[in-house]
Amino acid sequence: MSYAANSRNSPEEGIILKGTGYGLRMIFSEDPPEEELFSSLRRLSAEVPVLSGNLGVVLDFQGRPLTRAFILRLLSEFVWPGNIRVLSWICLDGETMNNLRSMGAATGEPVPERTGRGEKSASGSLILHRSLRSGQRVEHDGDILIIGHVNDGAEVFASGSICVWGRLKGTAHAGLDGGEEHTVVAGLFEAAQVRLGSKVSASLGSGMEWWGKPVIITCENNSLIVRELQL
Amino acid sequence: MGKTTTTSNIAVALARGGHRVVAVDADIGLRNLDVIMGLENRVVYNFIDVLEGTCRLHQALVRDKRVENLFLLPAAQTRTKDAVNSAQMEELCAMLRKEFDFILLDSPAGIESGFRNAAVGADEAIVIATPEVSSVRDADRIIGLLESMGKTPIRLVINRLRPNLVRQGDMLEVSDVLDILAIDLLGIVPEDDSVVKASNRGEPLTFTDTSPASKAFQRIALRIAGEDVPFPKFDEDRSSGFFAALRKFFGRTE
Repeated sequence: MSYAANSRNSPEEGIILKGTGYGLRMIFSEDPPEEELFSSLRRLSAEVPVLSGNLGVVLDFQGRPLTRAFILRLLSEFVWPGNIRVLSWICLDGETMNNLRSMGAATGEPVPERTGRGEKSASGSLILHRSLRSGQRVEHDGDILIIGHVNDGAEVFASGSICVWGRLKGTAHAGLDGGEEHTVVAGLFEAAQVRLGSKVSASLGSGMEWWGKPVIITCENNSLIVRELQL
Repeated sequence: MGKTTTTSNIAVALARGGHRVVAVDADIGLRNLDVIMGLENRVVYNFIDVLEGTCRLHQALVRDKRVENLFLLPAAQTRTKDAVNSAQMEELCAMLRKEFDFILLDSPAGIESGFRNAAVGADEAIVIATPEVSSVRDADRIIGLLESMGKTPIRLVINRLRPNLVRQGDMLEVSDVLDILAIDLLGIVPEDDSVVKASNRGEPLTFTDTSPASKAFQRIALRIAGEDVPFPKFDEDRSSGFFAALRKFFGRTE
């Protein structure tokens, strides 16, 4: 990572910047008082313009418990005005993590991306107004929306998410480049296998309660979760 | 799933309906249409001989003496699928178009060159599938390839339907097959022992009018010729079983 050479290591300011596979990691020391951290942040924002670029930033507070007021101040004084793209909030304190999750913030270690996120959104979505028959295959760098069925023996591969308006009986692989934050949505799910990122479903069958129903499939806590889609 | 049998039966039914018909065996190296039509001992030349200039088209055509206007154009048994190319098949079909009302090309199994050569000269396509999951998947693959070749319309014949198995839930229903394949239905042929007997005797069923499969093939031929023929329900197994006994008891006959 090229930013590793520019990384600052100044523990006296209470914040360490590290270049990582997914972007920058800001490690906040546990000891310095709140005010000192904010003045360090203001200095960093001015000195490190890359912070407000497209680069993702992980905020790692180690063992420091954060109050809701502190999180809000961090957002309003640093993240929002600096246009910082926060990939994830990391803290060892359970209460803080609960607070962050309840606020809808991303938590947990981010997965390094194999292609840039910007490239993916630039390639856009592919919308197919037809069904895919057995032996037909669609591959797209981005999201795929199929207004039709995906028959048994057809294959859909997307680096983003996959949405099948009709019946999904063939193979769908979303998050082809390893991103597991994507979803597979099907209007009627009858597929023997589904793949998301590096996860492959095991032993799907007509015995499942959501078989033949609309479903949404996500990856949570390292497992594939299938839920009946209720709109 | 019954391509050659279906070809022979439709060819006979169309010829009996007064049309000038040729059945072309496009399965080079594994020819069977001559045997099923009962014309194997009259084959002298084949269509590869025609394409290579060994003989003229009329020398290779085998006329069926049992019905007016029915001809067979056999395949070579001693060659392979690579003996012809797409351009030659188109040339052959162009020659036949001048002479016949209907040209039925019996395609070999598979999706390789043999299938493509058989399909390339055709205007329309008929896909034969049995109501089984594996057959429907294969038919779906074939339909996808035919669509990509621009063949239209592509119509479906559901072969060897067993109504009693469908009722027990052990066989796909016609509506299930149509739902998956999403093409027009040309006909439904019920399972019928007389099909096997007729194939072995070399007498296509449609020479007679008696068996259920024969009637089904005749309806298919009429639809190909442009007539609007309704689809009957195949519930003939009502002669046995509890409900049939009840119906008899109450004096209802269907």
